[in-house]
Amino acid sequence: MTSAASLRALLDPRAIAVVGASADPSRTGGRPIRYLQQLGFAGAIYPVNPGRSEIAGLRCYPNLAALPDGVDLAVITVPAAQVEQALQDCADASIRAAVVFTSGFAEVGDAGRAQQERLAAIARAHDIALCGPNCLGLINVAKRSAPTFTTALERRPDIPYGPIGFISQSGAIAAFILARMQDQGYGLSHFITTGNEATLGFADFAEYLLDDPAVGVIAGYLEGIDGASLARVAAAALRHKKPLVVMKVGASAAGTRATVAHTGKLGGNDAVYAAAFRQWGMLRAENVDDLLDWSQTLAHAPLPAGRRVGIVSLSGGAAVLMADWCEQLGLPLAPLAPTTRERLAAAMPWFATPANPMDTTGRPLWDEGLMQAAVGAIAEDPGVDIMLVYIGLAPGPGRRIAAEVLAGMAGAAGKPLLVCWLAENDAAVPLFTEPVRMTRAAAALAEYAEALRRPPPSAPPPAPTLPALPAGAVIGEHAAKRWLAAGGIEGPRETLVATADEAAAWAAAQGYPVALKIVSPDVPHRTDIGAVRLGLRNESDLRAAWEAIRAATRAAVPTARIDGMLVQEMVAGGVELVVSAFRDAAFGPVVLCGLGGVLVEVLNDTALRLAPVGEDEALAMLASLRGAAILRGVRGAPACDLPAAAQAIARLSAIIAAAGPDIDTIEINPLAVLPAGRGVRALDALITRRPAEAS
Amino acid sequence: MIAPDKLAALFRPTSVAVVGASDDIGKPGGRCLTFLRRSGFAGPIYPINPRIREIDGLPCYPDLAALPGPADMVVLLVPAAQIPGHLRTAGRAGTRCAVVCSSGFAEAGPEGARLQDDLVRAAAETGMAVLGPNCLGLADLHAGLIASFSTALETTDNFRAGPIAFLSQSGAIGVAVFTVAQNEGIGFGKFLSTGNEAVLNFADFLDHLAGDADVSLVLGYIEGVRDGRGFVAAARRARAAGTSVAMLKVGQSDAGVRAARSHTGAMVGSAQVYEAAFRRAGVLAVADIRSLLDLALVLPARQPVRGPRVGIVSMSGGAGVMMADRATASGLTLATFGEAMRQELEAVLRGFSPVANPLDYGAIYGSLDAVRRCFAAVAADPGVDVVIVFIGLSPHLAGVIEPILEEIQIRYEKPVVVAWLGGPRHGLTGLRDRGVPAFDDPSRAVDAVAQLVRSAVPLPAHDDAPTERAAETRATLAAFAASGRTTLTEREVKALLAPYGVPVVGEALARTPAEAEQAAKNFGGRVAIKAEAPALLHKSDAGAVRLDVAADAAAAAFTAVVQAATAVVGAAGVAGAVVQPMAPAGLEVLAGLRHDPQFGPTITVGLGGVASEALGDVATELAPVDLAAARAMLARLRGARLLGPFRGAAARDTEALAAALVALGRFAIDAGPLLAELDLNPVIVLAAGQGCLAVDGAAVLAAPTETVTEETDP
Repeated sequence: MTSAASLRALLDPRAIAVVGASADPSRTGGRPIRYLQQLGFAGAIYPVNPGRSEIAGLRCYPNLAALPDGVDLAVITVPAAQVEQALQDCADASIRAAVVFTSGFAEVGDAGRAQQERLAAIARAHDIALCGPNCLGLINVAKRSAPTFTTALERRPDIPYGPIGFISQSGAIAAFILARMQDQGYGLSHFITTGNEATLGFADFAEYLLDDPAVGVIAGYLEGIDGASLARVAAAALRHKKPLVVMKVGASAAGTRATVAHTGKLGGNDAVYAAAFRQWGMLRAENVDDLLDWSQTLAHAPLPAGRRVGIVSLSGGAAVLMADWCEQLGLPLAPLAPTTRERLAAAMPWFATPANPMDTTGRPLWDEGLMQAAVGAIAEDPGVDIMLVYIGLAPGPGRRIAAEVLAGMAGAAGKPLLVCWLAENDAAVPLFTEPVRMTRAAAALAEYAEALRRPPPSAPPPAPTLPALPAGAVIGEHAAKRWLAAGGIEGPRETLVATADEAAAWAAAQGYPVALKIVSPDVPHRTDIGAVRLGLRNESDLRAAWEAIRAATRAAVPTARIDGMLVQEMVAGGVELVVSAFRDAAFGPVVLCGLGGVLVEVLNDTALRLAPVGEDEALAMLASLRGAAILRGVRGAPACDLPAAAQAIARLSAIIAAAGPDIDTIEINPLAVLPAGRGVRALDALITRRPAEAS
Repeated sequence: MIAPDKLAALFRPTSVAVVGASDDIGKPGGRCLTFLRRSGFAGPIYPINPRIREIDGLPCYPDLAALPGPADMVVLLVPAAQIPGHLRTAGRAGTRCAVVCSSGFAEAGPEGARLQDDLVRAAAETGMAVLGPNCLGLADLHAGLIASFSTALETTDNFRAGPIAFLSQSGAIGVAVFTVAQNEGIGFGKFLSTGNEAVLNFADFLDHLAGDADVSLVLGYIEGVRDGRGFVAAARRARAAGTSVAMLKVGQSDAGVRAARSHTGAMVGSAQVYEAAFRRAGVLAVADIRSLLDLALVLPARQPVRGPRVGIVSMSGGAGVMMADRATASGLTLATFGEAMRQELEAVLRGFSPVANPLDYGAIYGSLDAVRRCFAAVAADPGVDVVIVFIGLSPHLAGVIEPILEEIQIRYEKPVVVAWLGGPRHGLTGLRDRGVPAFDDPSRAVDAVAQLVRSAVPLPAHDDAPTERAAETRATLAAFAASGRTTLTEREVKALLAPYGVPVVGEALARTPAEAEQAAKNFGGRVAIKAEAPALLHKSDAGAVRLDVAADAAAAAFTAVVQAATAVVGAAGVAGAVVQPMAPAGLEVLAGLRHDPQFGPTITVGLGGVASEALGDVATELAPVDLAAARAMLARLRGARLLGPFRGAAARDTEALAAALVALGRFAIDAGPLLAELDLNPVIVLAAGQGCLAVDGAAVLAAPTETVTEETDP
């Protein structure tokens, strides 16, 4: 664990040494020196190169031992074979932090991985904050510290300052994004590339920046991260009330899992990420534009009290476009209060109808004060939480109109106001050059404000104490349901029988109709081969089904071991859900629900959360299904027992969270949700274990 | 109907009069005149303003009558009330076309609507082609014509004329896109703001541009088209002529519909029908303004697009992953590299990075020759349809990489699209000037490639001529309407559809219990018995339907359903009962037709059952459809897998279902606007080879006022 003092030495160093310093300012060993000078780093810069006495006007030292005291950070640019020694030299010289640009470590194979491990060991042993290896370095904009070799600083020699800390797992992408930020004038407080993350990773840097009062927003570019680290950062970000905007690409290699159950396929690694982002109040940017727009907006706009949008537009067409996107993004257009309408009617020309969106027509281009009146009236409407203003091109008058809009904002104290203006500009409100991008940013703002307001989720059910499961990679229906029943998820009445006579006797006692199913560890999808018969109405049906199932099983899987058959009551009425839980490689236990046996598979209509969840979250999962209306009763069908379904989902989530790491998947398919007040029944279930070597 | 030469004159007039011209550029009349003079218009320009003698060297005339000869085009910037009079004067003098910029017409209330009616009459009397009113005018840079007063055009007087035309139902969006495009070096050759479309509408202009050799891409902003079928025909004509068409359609949500209604009063129509119309017309749909501009960058394509397989060549591994993610999400596929190029790439990359797609050339990017060989190897691979190149920063490549990429694009005859993130601006424009589409964002570059690939998908067939049965079908429907009927019974619906080849369950109309029993015996099995009562809407609820009845119980069932129906609608409303065989078990789907106010007959198919209906899983197409389009409709259903072999159930007879949709589509065209909607629910789809069967149906006739849609030619 790297200490805070060492991290400070890395991110806010007093003096910096460059090991492998080059007199050529275009080389990797020359650029950091030039950039530090270019940005005006206030501390000492010490080039280290035994072959030189002076570089860039600075005295050059033969080695780290020769340096004066007080060096916090060493930038290491020497070839891979020499990096280990250089890091050891840092330790010997009591240097607390190092940035290693050099590549050729874990990314090139096992030998490199071993070398990287040795770097990590040195760093840990001496509490050295190590950034990299194989990274582009970092920049602390306020402190003018730039131990980096990114050519983004060639294009434009400086970076505007702003309250956004940017951390990237890809150096190249980070440089490109930095260049875009510079071009758009987006300010940054920190720019950090994490490289191979030998010791310090995305989460460590993010936590450090969250503690820094100068950082208001963290923007991240992620390729892969373990769930626990992300959870840690997300929790810290929520605690600090600082938004975390992340662009996540690629499916993590570890996330590809094979399982005999369908749920793994349905869940998919990306869906788990999406669930984690939502549950942890992080914002997921889909592309670079979103990442920049959202972090910029969150850094500068106040948080809205709700999602209701007011639109003022110089173009009716842009107003319609934004209205479309508002609806698609779940941002309702606020109905205007009568007083707002009166204000607008008084201020606007007769042909501009007071409405939301407010189409001012092109009149504000020459009619001074009109824009201010429109924006002011709508922004002050108590029903409006977020203001979107479209100025459009307005090349000449645009500047004046933007100023008017700003004046209008004064009346809208505390409400975010986003402005789209296509011309070049230098105004101080978040400005967009595309109305749809602006609307998306508004949605991100609303989503984050909601995440902050959201009450803590209700507690998940207590972890159940469950009996041991039978051995085997696949635990079939009968044993699985008994186990789940012990965890509080009830199944239908049923019994395992060895003969048709036993089945008939049980059915006669309990009453028809019944279902009959093969019990075999070798036939996971019994319906597909005709080894499940439902709705058997009498003994002759039952006996015929017995023979048919035996024949079908033999035909499909000749070597199948048959443990008997399960005869069970038919549960009438209700709606069928699939409820399942699995263990994600990156995020651990996950719970998922979907509607209907066939529907869930064909339409992939599912909701997914990291487990465990409480019953309120489970209810929210059910409500988010596209087919949720079916659960509430359609076409005269009665409403289902939603609380019982939510309870079962919550309980299953607690079961997987408490189960041993060998339990891979628990699938209840179907879970019959009976009419309100009558509970649920797990009609079928399957549990799979992961292979012993993986657990 | 406007004569084609008059419509064409809007774009290439021989002379232009500006009514309401001004010597003050701060006023619309001043701007319009200034832009027109700056645009390099070759013919005479006549400013008209009774209070001014001369404007900057041009003699100014007091009115149109005072002109030395007729103006070919008049641009009108005077108050609305004066417009019809000016139109009549101009028309009588031989003016072929008019641009009415003034507002204060239909968009401004009842008085304006009356003025607009008068404007339409004036146009009809004179036969003039009229653009507007309430529009920002048009520009045709190929003809050196700018007839607009938009302040946005002040930003530059050095427009570049490219092969792109932009039609916009919003003036402000139109000029914004036009200007931003010009600033980015994208040549828009023509721009037209359609305004209230009182005389000429969006489809008319699209149709005109379809035949314009200077235009190879038409972009549009639409709130709602007035003439949907005309729009489809015009877009198809453009596609057939090799011109791509892409539209930003707004008003796709309830909120958007409300906003559009107050903006232009346009009938925005159903998003699903527009999707179907765009598909049929080969029109690319875009979702935001930036995407329109991105399309302008990637289309018109200089090279043929053969398919969706992309080869991604990236300077950064991370950007490669990002673009691969995006490509997969937008329906592109990552090409599998062939052996020949594998060897070439191994030789170039020398083990620094693996030969894979996306290909990471970061390790060798110091050698321009190696980079060129990398690009060429990927472009040469026969498995690659489009090459996407990612470059980051690298200002030194500007001026160097452009000819290399252009050469590769030409040599291998496939599109090369570049994403240059953080690159210098002249690098991007340098590539664009050489015909290599270049973007400053990787996601947008990939999205544009996906659109490029879609633009090359062949046009689906479309033949909406009625069949030889049309007259008979229309006569039947007209007779129903004339007898005051508003709905049709299941029996009537089936009788209309059966001749078209829609398989319907057999039936017999029984008037007595004995006839019902005989009919049941004839069918030879269990039957359904339903009261025949046109006015009875919910037969099941009224107890007027009995299912699964044995032949010996048919007489009693007949009596029961007739009594139940009589109790609701009276004896006079009950014609007996329909006896029909019980349908065999199979997958239930629903099929139907709707007459769309803009696009005419459409057909819809969806999976039946409560669950699927609640999920709204339906596919819609403009009628008619051919077999290929019908199959595609079925494949588009989210639940399409239920039609195939699924969970032990045999595959369904999708061919029979597709054929039934084809038949339904032909019927829809024949029925035309007389029929508002028709539903077949359910249609039972049996196992493959066994067909499908419509077992129930209902229809609603058009309300009398809606049936008058045939336009009379003045």
